[in-house]
Amino acid sequence: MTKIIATLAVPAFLLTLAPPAAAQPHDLCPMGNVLITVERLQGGVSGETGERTSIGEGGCFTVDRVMNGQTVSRLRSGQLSPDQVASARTAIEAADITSLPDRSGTPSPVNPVTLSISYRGATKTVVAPTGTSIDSMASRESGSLARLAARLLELTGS
Amino acid sequence: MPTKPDAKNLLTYRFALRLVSTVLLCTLPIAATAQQQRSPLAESAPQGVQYSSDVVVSESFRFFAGGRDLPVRGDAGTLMSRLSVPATAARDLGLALTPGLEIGPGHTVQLFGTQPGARAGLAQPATAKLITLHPIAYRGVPLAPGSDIMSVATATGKLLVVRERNLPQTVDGSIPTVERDIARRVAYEAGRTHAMPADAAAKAARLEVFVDRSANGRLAWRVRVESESLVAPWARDIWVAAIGDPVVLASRELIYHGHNGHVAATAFPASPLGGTAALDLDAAFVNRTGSDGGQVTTGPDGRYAFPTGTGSATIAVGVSGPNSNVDNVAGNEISASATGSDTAPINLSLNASTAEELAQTSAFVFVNRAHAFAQDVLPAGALAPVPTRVNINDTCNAFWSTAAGSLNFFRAGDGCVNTAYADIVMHEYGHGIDDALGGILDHGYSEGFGDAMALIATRQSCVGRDFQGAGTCLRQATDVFLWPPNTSEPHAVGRRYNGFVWQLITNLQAVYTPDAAFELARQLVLGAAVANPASIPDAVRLSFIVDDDDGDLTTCSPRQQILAAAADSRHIPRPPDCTPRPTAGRSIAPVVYFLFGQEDMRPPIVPPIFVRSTVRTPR
Repeated sequence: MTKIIATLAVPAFLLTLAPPAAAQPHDLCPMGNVLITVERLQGGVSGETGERTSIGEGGCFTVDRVMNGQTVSRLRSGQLSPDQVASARTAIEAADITSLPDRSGTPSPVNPVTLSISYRGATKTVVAPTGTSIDSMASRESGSLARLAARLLELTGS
Repeated sequence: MPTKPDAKNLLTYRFALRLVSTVLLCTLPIAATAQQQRSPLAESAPQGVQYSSDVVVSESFRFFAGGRDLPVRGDAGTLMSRLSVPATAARDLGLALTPGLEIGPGHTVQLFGTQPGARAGLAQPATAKLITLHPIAYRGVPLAPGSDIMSVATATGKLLVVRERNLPQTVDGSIPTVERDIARRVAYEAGRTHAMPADAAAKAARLEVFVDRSANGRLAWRVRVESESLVAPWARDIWVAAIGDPVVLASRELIYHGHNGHVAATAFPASPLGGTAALDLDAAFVNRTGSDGGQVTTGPDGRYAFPTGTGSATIAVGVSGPNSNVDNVAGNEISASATGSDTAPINLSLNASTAEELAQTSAFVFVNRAHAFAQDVLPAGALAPVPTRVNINDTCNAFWSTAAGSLNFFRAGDGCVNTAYADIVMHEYGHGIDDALGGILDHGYSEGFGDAMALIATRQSCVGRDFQGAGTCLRQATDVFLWPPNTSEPHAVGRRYNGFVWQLITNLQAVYTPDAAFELARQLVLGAAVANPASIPDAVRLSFIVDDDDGDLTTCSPRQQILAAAADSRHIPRPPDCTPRPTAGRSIAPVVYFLFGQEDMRPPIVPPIFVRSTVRTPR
């Protein structure tokens, strides 16, 4: 219960914050150590395609187009403000990622949606039927991973 | 055979003979006589009428004021029989036919046999009447429809009217000098002047006497030229002179439809980088506003026809039909409309030019072709229609949604083409087929099966031509990936099956014509799919079972060794080697086309579906 309240409190707090700082060229914002990575993939004829968002401990972030694990292109990059970084850390802690199962959800027979978060060396994945949005996944009772993903992607302007 | 009148009616007979001759010669209204007062109807009775479709009619009426007594009185049943019998009818009606003309058995109906309910004093009692129509022949050769004799009599036995219609004064003969086949060829050529479709053929031909405008009877071959299409019917009867020069005497349309035309669409016949072409738009709803309104569906050749309705109407078509309903996520759906009448074809074209438009037309065209490709194995009503979502704001992928039962294609971008094109449509539709045939049991098989559908349908070995740019290939089926897979990624696992299928096609082509080889592959692969395989080895084994013809896999079925070689090429487990049966003359792949009950070697049931058109503009 506490976890849910904490998770729900985060977005309200985040709404009071300023939008992300204007994006800087990523080479001007060194990533350094990666704090957390969010990957949302759609299965299909070409395998799994989607976007991978990485947030550095210093607030730099990148959004890449990925295809079957390979980076196809850099879609955008930027830097979060210190407040936004703090908010991100709060959201991460509230989600208690380490307590989540490594893999959960209800996959479709083919072409599932896969949402993964990598944090401190662990990757947690939730699968959902074809075409499911992150918002839809987050609305479910067991959707804490998706809710965290939604918050982080909101911070990075996705 | 001319029939003589009774002696007591001789005067009437002579008069009638003179009168009819006069009418036929001059096509003038009949004259009034002392015995037969002119009827008011005669003033308006048509004397020389040309109906549509070249049916020429001259006709004469004889009205008997007050009615002329017939030999039978007061017995309607007996009178009906008498009027129907040629000999008695000819005598009773006072006919004087040209030598050689013969009246045929009549068809008699009775009208007003029972009195309609009426308010007392407000209606006169109805008179029961007998109406009889007789066909006519000349020395055994029937006259063309429209030449006949009609009579109206009271049920109590009074003759009121006789009509002689389109009877010849002369006939050029009853023995043809023009051969039947020549007449059929002439008729076929004549059909070309009436927008005859390519699949029409000259069918039956029989002799008739056709009566021309001058009341000359011409012995003719009546040839039926028709297309068997149920969705774009076309048929005409054409009379070709059977004596002398085989000229066309008349042509009569046999299909009575209203607005019609053809619908085409510009689409990608192959990949989005391979140019566009104008393709027949099959299975598209065509809507009509005005006239009788309504909706019809285009046929395989893109043609449509409304069965009724005339005059001005507006015809509209889009990317919607019984098999696919395209949803352009990025905006409105492409459509076309035109206004015209039923007297000329109203042709429409979905002139797609932008990438978003071409994605719509290409998806629609190939979903329809995919449906036709698999129609004989799909449960009734399955995948009809499939929501087909195109230009989704994502890139480099496409997917089948089991939950929504929809096909989903992404826009171009990130180095990838728009994914709504032949290879990808067929792959995703393959998932739909797998889903419809008992549900998807195995991801790897389903991916491989989707690829197999694309391979067989497009008749080339790349699934995803130009997917990531010109010359790229998403999955090349000639690549060899062996079983068991060293990956769990479904598409990678599926490459074992697409490789098996491509090798099967290749092996079949060594023995069969290309058309037969692809059709056999289609049936072997779809036949296995019907049994809902649980894995790739299961699907391969099921193809052996589908091919088996004696319930014994240890004896070689028609293509068992070909299947075995294909399975071995990817190390996929299969039934043990078979032993050829000692049938005389049987080779490694006997020419027996057995699947789904066909025991003879036939042309393929499903034509190559993606090779219909010519690339128009390289892009």
